[in-house]
Amino acid sequence: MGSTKKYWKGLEELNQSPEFVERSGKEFSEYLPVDEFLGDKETLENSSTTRRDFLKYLGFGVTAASLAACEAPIIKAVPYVNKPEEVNPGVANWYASTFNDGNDYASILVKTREGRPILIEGNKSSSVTKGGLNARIAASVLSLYDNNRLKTPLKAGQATSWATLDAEVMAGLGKLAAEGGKIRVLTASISSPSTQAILAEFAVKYTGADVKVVQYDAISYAGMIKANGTSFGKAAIPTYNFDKAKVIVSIGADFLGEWLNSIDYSIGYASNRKPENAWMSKHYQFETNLSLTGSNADERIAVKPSEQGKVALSLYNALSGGSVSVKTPYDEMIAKIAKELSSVKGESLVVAGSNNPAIQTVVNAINNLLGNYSSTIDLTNTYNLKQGSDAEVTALIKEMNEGAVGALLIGNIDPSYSLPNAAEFATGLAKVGLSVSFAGTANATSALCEYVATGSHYLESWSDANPSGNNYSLGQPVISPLFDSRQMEQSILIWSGSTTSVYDYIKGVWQSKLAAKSDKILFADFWNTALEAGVFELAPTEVASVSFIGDVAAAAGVIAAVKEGAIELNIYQKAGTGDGSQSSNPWLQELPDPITKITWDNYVTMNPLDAEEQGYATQYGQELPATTAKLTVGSAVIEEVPVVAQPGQKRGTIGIAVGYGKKVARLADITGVNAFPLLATVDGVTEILVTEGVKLEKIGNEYPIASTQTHHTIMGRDAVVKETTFGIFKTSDKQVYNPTVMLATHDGPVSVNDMDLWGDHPIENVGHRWGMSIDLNTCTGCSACVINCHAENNVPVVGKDEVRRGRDMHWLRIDRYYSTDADTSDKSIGGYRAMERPSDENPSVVHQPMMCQHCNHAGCETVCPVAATTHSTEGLNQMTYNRCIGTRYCANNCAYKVRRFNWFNYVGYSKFADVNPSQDDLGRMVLNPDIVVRARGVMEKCSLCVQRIQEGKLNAKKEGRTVKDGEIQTACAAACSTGAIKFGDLNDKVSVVRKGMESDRAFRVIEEVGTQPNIYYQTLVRNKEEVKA
Amino acid sequence: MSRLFYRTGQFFAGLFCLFTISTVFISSVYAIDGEKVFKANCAACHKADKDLVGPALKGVLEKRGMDWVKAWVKNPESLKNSGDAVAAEVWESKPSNMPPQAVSDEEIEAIFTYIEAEPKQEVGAVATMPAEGEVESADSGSDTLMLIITLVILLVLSSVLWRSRNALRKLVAEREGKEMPYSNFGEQIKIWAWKNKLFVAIVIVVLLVGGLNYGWDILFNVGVFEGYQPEQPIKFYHDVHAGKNKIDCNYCHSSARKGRTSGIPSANVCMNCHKAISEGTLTGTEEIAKIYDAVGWDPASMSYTGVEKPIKWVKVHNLPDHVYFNHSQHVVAGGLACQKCHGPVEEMRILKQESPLTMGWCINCHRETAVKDAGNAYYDEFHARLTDELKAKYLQDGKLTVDEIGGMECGKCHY
Repeated sequence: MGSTKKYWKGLEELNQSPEFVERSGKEFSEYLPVDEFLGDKETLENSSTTRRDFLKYLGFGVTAASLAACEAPIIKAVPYVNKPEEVNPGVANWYASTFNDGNDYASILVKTREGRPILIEGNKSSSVTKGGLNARIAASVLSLYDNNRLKTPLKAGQATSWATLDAEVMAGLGKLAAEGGKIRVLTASISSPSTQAILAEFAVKYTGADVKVVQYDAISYAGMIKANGTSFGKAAIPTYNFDKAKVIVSIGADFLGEWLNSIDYSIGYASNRKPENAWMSKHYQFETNLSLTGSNADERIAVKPSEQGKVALSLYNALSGGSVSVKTPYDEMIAKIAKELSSVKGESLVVAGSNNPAIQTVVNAINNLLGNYSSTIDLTNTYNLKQGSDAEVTALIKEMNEGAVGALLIGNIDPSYSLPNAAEFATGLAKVGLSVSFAGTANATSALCEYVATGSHYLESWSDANPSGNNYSLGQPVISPLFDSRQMEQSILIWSGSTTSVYDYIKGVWQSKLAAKSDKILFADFWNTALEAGVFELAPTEVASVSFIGDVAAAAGVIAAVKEGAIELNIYQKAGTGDGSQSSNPWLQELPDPITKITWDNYVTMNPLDAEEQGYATQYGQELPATTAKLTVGSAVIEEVPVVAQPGQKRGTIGIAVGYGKKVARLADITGVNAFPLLATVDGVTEILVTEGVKLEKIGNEYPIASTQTHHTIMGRDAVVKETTFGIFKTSDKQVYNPTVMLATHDGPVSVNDMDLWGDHPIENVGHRWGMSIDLNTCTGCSACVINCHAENNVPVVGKDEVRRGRDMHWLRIDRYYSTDADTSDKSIGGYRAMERPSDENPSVVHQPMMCQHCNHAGCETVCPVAATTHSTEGLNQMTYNRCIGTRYCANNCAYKVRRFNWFNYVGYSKFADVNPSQDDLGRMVLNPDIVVRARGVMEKCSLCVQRIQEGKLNAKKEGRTVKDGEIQTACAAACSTGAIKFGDLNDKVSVVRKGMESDRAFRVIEEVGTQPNIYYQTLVRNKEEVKA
Repeated sequence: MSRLFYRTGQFFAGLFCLFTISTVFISSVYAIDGEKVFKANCAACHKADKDLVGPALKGVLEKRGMDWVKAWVKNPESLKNSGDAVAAEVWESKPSNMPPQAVSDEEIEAIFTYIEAEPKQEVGAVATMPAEGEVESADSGSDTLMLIITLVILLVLSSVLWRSRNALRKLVAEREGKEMPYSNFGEQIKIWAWKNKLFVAIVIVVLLVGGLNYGWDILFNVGVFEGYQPEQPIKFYHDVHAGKNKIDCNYCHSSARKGRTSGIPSANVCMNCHKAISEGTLTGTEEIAKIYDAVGWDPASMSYTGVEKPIKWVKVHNLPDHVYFNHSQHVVAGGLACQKCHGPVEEMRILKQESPLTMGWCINCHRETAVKDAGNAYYDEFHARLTDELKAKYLQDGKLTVDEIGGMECGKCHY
C-alpha cells in the first residue's frame, strides 16, 4: 500500500491562499511576457502575415543566411593617396604633448595608429610629472571621440558658420571698445605664456573697452594663494618636494589623489616608501573621508572638518611651545608627531587640503618653524597651474548682475555647473550683452551663452604651459579637428584681428622668450628638440630664503571660532570623475572608485556605525541596494542621494564627491548628483569643508549600487596580502614577516614549490619567462593602470546594471582590503563572520592590483575542454578567443577570479548602446587595432599585453640584439606613476623583476594552492610601531 | 584535337613574335646608341611625341635645326645669354629651365636619330604584347570548348548506337515471334545490376565514400579562398612591374619591412615613375589616367590639382580578424622571400591568392622552417639560456625550427 503522506509545495498550498489557488491552474506561476513578445491579440489577427508566409520567410531567411555565410564579402583596401612620410600602416607613432584642462596637468606621450590617437602614457622627459599620469588623463583619449561633442559653432543654440560668428562677435566687441564697455574673459588658470600673450593682444585690440581676464578653478586653491601672500608676501603656490620629506603630515590634503600636482607628489612620496632603503618616510594623515592618501598613510587619524584647523593649530602649538591655546582629542598623537617633526627639521612636510586661509596660514607657520622652506617647499619656483581667484570671480558675478559687463568670453569651463552660487551666475549671464562660450561639449554654461565658439579637444590643439618654475611644455595636436571646431586661442587671435595661427604664435613666443635660454644655436633646432621632448626645462632658480610675516594669532582666532556642526560634510573629488569636466567618459564612469569600489555614481559616504544607527543599508550587491536620503546644506538641496557606508569615515561626518550630475555617454538619465552647490564659502574663498548647515534626512528608498568589490577584508588569510612593519622588516629574518609556505606531508613540512601534482615543466632554462613584480608599498591605488589596460586591450564597457551583477570586464582590478577588528585566529564560522566586517572607525587599507597571475601550474588550463587556454614556453597563460566555446570552467577554477566572460555582444547589443563607446563609429576609433574585439560567449583576461611582448621581441630580432630590460612594458606598468608595477623577463638574471622575485619581500598570492604564478608581490611594509594580525 | 589547335596556335604565335622582334631589332640598329643616351640623360623630362616637363622632342630638329639644338642642349643658358632670340623665347616659356647636359655632338645626333625612329618601335611593341596574350587566352579557351564538344558528340553517338541496337533487337525478336525479355531501359538496368551485385555494391560504396570525402573537403574549404583573383579598379599588372621591369617588391610595398601590413602603395608612390610614364605598353593611357585621377594630377599642365580620390583596391589576401600576422616578422626577422607565401607574383598579370592561408598551412611552415638565428644576438641569448638537454632536442635535426621557439603556441598569433 502506498503512503498517504501529503506533501505541500509550500505554505501557500497548505493554506490554500487565494493567490495560490488562482495561480495553480496556470502552467507557469509567474507572469510570462507573451504579449510583449508577440504583440496583443488584435494586432496578431490584423496582421497580414499568415503562418504559411511566416514559415516561408523563415525558410528563406535561414537559407539566405547559410548561403551568405559561405561567400566572403569583398573587402576593400583604401591606401593613402599621398602617404605622410612618417606614417607606416601598422606601426605606431608617438608624439609628446601636454594635457592641461585646468584641473589636471601632465606632459604626455600619445600613441597614434594611422593618425588616430589611441593611448596616452606619461612623458618621462618632464620633471613636473616625471612620466606619471592619472586615470583622467589616461582616459582623455576617449573623450576625443565623444559623439556628445559640439560639432559646429552655435548661435542661440543653432548651428552657425564661423564667418557669421566671427563677424557678429567682432562687431559686438568693437562696439564695446567704441563705447568703453566692459569685456571680461573667464577661463581656467592660464599658465601658458602664449595664451597670456594672445589675451594681451586681445586687450590691445579692444583697448577702448575695459578688458580683464578672470581665472577660475572649479576646485579652488585661492585661499592657499591668499595665505601664502599674507605669510610670505608671495601670493602663489609653492613646489612641494615630497621626495625630500622624511616625515609627512597631511591635514585633509589628498596629495596622492587629487590635491594640486598629485602625480609628482605620489612619485616623490613613493621614492621614500621602499623599506630596502636606509630610511622610509613616515606619513601621518588627519582627515574626514577615507581618501586615497589616507588609505596609504602609516597613521591615519579621522577628524571632523571643524577639527582640521584645530589640529593644525595644536601641531603649531606643540612645535612652538604653546603660544596659542587650543585643545583637540588628538593632542597626545600631535605631541608625538611634533617630536618626530622636530627631529627631522628641514626634511619634513606639513600640508593641508583646506582652502581656508587661516588654516593655510597656520600650516605655513608650521613649515616655517620646521625650516621646510629651504628644502621640501620651494616658493621661488612656483607651481603655476592654479591661479584662480574666487574674489575676482565673485566681483565678476556682481558686475554681471549689475548689468555692467558688455561681453563675457568663457573658456572651456562650466561655472554654471561648478560654482556654489551658480544660480546667481546664471542670472548675471542673462544680463551680459555678448556671451560667448568656448566649450567643446555642450554644458550648463554654454547653454546659457548666446554664442558657442566650439573649442577643439586638446589632442586637436596647439598649446604650451609653464606648469612650474622654469619648466615649459608644449602640446601638439595629434589629429586634425574631427568637427568644425576651433581652439579658444585661435578664436581670440582672429577676434584680435590677427591672421596668425596658434602654431606660429606659440613658435613666435618660444622664439622670443625661451630660445635664448637654450644651448641650441638655431631656433629650428631648439624648437624641434623641444617639440620632440614635449618639454623645455631649465635648472630651477636658486631658492630664495623666505621670512614668515603671517599673523598666526589672527588665524587662530578664525579657527577657534569654527563651530562643530551636528553633521559635517567633506566634499571631495573621485579618481575617475574629478571636477566633472570629463564625466561623460564611460571609462571613467566604470572605473571603480579606489576606495569604495563603486562605479557609475556618487553618493554620500557615512561611517558604517552611523549608518546602522540611522537605519541605512550597509552592504551592497546585486540584491542589496543602498538607502537614499535628502541632503541639505543651507539653501542648497540634493533631493535624493544614496548613502553608502564607508569604513574610516569620521563619525558624525559625511562626504560627497563632485563631478557628477551630468549626462554620461548616450544615457538618457543624469548620472549621480551635482555636489558643487554644497561648497561652502569661507573668508571669500570656496571651501570643501562644510561645517555648518548640513542636514541629512533619510528618505529610505532603495537605490541600486554597482560595486565591483562586495567583500572588504582578507578574512585573516595572510596568503592574499602579507604585511609587516618597518621595524620588523629591518630587524628580522624573512621567515618572520614573509614565511615560506609549507605543506604538511608524511615526511614533514615541505615547501609548496617542491610539491606538485604535475610533472615539472621547464621554467628557468627556456627562453623568456614574462612576469611582474608588484610593490604593495608603492601602489597608491590611483587606478591609472586600470584605464590604460582598458585602452590598450579594448576592454568593453558594460554599464552600471552589469557591474551590479558582477559582470564588469576589467582585466586589471585593484583589490582594496580593509583591516578588521575581529580576532583573525578564530577559525570558527562565527569567527569568519566577524572577520568579514572591516574596522569601522579607522581601518588600515591595502591596495592590491590583481590581474591574471599567469600561473605556471594554472588551474584554468587543466579544465578547459577545448584547450582554448594554454601555457606558452614564455610563461604566459594564453587565452585563445577563437577556440573558446564559453564553458566558463576556467573562471570557476581560477583561484584569483580574474577571468572575464563576455555575457553579451557588448559592441553590438542594443542594451549597451547607451554606455559602450564602441557602439558608435566615432568611439570605435579608439580601439587598438592589434587586439581583437572579443565576441559574445568567450572568456577573456589579462594577456600581459602579449601584443607588446611580441612587438618588443620582434624589434630585438630585427635589430639582432637581446631584449633590453624595461624595453617591453605592459600598459599598466607604463601607466604606473610610482613604478609599483614592474614588468619584465624573470629569466633575465639582471632584470628588475628578477630582483623583485628574489627579494625577501616577494610572495605570490594564495601560494599554498600551488599555482606558481609569474606575478610576484612585495610584502607591504608600514612605517608604524606595531602590526595588527 | 585540342592539342592540334594548341600546337598550331603556338607555332603561329612564335612565328609572329619572331617577325615583330626582328623588325624592331632591324629598325633600331642605328638608334641603339641614341636610345641609351636618351634614357640616361633626357627621359626624365622628355618624351619623343609628348610634352612632359620638357617639350616633345619629335619635330624639334625640323623646327630648330641641328646646330641650334646642339648648342641648346649643351648649355641652354649661355645660348640664351648669347642673344639668341629663339633661345630666350624658349627659356621664358617654361617655368623650369633645362640644365646644361654633358653630351657630345655625336650623342645628340644619335639621340635624335633614335627619337625619329622611336614611334615605329612603340607601335610595334604595342602590337606584340596583346598578340601574345590573345593567342594564349584563345588557346586555353578553345581547349575546354573542344573537350565539351567532343563529349557531347560522344554522348549523342552512344545514345544513337544504343537506341538503334535496341530497335534492331526488338525487330529481331518480333520477327522471331519472341516476347522481349525486358520492356524498358530501367528494367534492363535493374536486371543488369542484379546480375552484377558485387560490382554494383563496390561502386556504391566507392561513390558514397568519395562523395563524403568530397563533401568534407568542400566544408573544410568554406572560407578558404585559394586562387582568389578579383578584378581591381585599375588594371595593375604585377608581371609588368615586378617581372618585366624588375621593380623590387619592397619598393612599392615598403611597409612590409617595417610593420604588420605589407601596405598597398599609396598613389604618390605610383607617381614616382608615372609622372613620367603616362602611357603603358598594354593598356595605353587609360589605366594610368586612373592614377592621375586619384592623385589629382593634370598631365596637360603637369601639375597637381589638389583634388584627390582615394583608390578602392580589392583586398586579395584576407586573414580573419582573430589572427595577428606581421609582415616584418617574416620578411626581416625570418628572411623569407615574398614569393614563399604569395607565389610567383612577378609572373601574375592579375594578382591571385596563391596560398590557402589556412591555419594548417601556417602551422606546417612553422614546423618545417628553420629560424634565421645565425649571427643574431637575440637567438644567441636564446641558445645560451637553454639547458643542454633541450638544446640537443631542438637541434637534433640540425636546425632550430619556428615551432621549437614557440611558433606554434596559440598566443603567438591569436590575441
